[in-house]
Amino acid sequence: MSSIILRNFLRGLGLVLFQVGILSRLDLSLGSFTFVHLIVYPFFILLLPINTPKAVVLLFAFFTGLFVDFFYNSPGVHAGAMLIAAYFRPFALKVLEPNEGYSTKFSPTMVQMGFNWFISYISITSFIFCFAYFSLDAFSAVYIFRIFMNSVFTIIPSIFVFMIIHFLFRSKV
Amino acid sequence: MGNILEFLVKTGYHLIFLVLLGTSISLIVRYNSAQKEIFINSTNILSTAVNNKLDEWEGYFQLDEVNSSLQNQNALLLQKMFEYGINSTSAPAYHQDSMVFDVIPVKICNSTFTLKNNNLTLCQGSNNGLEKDLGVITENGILGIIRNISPNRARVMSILHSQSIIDCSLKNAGAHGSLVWNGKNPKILDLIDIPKHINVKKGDTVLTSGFSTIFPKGLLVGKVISVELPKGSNIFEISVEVFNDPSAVSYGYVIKNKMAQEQKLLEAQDE
Repeated sequence: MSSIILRNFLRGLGLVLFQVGILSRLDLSLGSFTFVHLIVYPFFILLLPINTPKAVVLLFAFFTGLFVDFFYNSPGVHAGAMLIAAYFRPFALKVLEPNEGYSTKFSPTMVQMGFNWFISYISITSFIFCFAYFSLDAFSAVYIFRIFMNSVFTIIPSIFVFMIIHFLFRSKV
Repeated sequence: MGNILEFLVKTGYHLIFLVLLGTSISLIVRYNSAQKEIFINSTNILSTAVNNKLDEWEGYFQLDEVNSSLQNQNALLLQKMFEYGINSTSAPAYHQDSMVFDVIPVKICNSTFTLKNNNLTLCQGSNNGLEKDLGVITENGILGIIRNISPNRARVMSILHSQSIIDCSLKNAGAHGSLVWNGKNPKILDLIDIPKHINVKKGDTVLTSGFSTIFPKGLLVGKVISVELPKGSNIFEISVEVFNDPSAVSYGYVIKNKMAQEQKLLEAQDE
């Protein structure tokens, strides 16, 4: 049990530090094409064990987002987006629930659930996160095109980068 | 108590979400200048729209009050206008007592305009100072003449009545005639008794002549829309389109000539 907590704690710490230490300093704009961003730290929330109390997930998400916001100099934007992603996590899990149900002690990782399930899960949840994040960043429905483009071109490379990390540090729980 | 706890446990997740979402949005709006501007602009637009709507509704509630106060002011202005003459630009000093015409604002309770003989009912009667044989007008035309009266109601013979004959004159041609209704179109009346030597033109304005004691001189009535001279006749057939729409009036003014009694008595001495 304590190893699950420790593992999740280390995973969260590692992802957040990777985000604020390295990814937040990268300039990924390709000329005038500024839609590409890399955001991997929200996957820590998505990988919390399935039986984690929902309220705890919300609080974790909020404060992690707030912490990242200090480095992005955008108070509230990451926190709000993380909160929304965490709020919709149970719904995504419910939609994707396999016939035999979850083994609730474990995290919804690739090793546990298989590649296909895992890809659909993180695609849905990270789309929710990105859409919320860029919506709060633009703060107006006028920029819906930009919000959409940003979301799409952030999800694809972010998932790719996260999969690499996930392979490198893969675990059974 | 148990129910409340159960409710909190069940909905606590959503409550925490809403509270934290509110917190993050308030952080965004407070500490991010771009979002702050958008937020302020949007709330301004919203509050302006809400305020406008509220003002509109409030306006509707006050409409009756506003209407009656406007009507009273109009009555006073009309009274002054009759006194000075309709086209007079100078404004001599006046005293309420010395005015010949009294103008009383009235509300129309009931009216017809589709029959051959049309009548109106006013919501005021002798208690409000109305009398028999007074003229009823609107801001841009004449309505009829009071025929019967009770303490709180008055019955008006409309100009759209087969018996109604109103003495009118043509503004440019200067001739006098009588305005009657042929019973067809409530917007079109006939001006009769204009002899053929008068130069009547289409578009000439028809005014009240002021020869009777009922209407003051120079009230707008309508404009000439067609002039015909039947073969072998000495009298024009003139169609007049009235300025007001008798089918769509709900307020009017009764004109009371204070000298009417005196003038009638004097004229009666001739016989």
